[in-house]
Amino acid sequence: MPRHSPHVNFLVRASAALILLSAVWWFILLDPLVSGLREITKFVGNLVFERASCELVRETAAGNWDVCVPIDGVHASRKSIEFELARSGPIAFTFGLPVCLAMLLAAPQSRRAWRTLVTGTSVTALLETLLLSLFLVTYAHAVEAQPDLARNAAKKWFFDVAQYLELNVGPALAPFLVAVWLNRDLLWHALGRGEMIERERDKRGTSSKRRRRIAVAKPDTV
Amino acid sequence: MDGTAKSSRGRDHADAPGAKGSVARATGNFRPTRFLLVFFLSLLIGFALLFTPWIQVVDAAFSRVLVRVSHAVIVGCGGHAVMQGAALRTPGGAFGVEMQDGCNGINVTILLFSAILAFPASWKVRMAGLLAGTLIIQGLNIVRFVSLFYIGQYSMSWFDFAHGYLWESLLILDTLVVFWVWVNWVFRSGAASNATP
Repeated sequence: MPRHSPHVNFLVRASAALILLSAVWWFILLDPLVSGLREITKFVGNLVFERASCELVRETAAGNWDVCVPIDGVHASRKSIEFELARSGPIAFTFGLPVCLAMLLAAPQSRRAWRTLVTGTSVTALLETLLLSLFLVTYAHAVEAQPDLARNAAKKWFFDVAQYLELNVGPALAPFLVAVWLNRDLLWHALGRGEMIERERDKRGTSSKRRRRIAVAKPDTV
Repeated sequence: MDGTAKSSRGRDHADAPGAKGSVARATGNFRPTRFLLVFFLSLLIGFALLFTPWIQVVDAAFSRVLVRVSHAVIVGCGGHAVMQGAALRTPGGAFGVEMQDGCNGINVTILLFSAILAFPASWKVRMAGLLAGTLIIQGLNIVRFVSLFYIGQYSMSWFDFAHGYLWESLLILDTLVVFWVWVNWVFRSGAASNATP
């Protein structure tokens, strides 16, 4: 049987896990995750905007989000910005979970794999919630600045970049970074340093065993 | 490729001055903090440039080239499709898929560019990695576009899922693996640089 490189093995494992978990996410977990995200976003919004004059997030009959962001804008008469966010918006912020889990499950397993999975899920969920909150605030400011955007190209460019980073780049990249950060073995093995790391560990393991033996032996000899 | 470093190759990195701890010894000049800093800065600059009007023009032209290649692949394999600008349509016009911003793989290419730029290596090695990586990513992106053209004809729900989420993540995963393979090659060939990126 041909021996494949660890990169190919990881790619095949991670792709398979990603296809499987994202299908589970799309067909089973999507609705509860979007509802959960809505409640968490409301909670975060209430913490940030203590005296909100409107309901921060409300789901429409079509499944879209009616969002209200309290804002201290240039218009004295306006205390908040309200807009409707298509359902695909919040959905993008829930996809990080299956991606992060797929990466961690495809990585070289350690004895504390379950702990890594729990931490990965929590950190990804936290990051995605923060990114969504940031996106909603940026979007609200973009709506407020709408009259200026047609005249001010630099301002329009700034909002375009900011929204793209918050809606497309951040949520897509975050689960990969979290997985690599949590599973250092994945990083070092992927960088082709696995053999050297293991050699270093063996060396450390041998010396610590030796130290333990000496420590155990000491009381007997004294 | 066995994914591990030969000890003779790793010797020069293992003795790198200033390297502290086992991980630093084993990974030569790779400093995670510096890598992350340069990576995120390059990413930010890359996406900021992508939204400038003159790059948008190049971006749109590149999308049309990719659609032309995808069309050639479909026709070459015996399929039927009609090309309209940056869109592919079924001959009856019942379904069409347009390559818009973010669909042409430029975003993952920026990701790869940022990662390669942040890693300590010579410019020649970086350019080789970038060229090979871009070809692999764009090849895969054409597979993605052609597959979406057929998935969309079968089911719009599956199209939304594959287009918006699955293929996006698979492309990032592939970019990650391309980068890792490149880094492994850099270490194995002893091309890791002492210079700051």
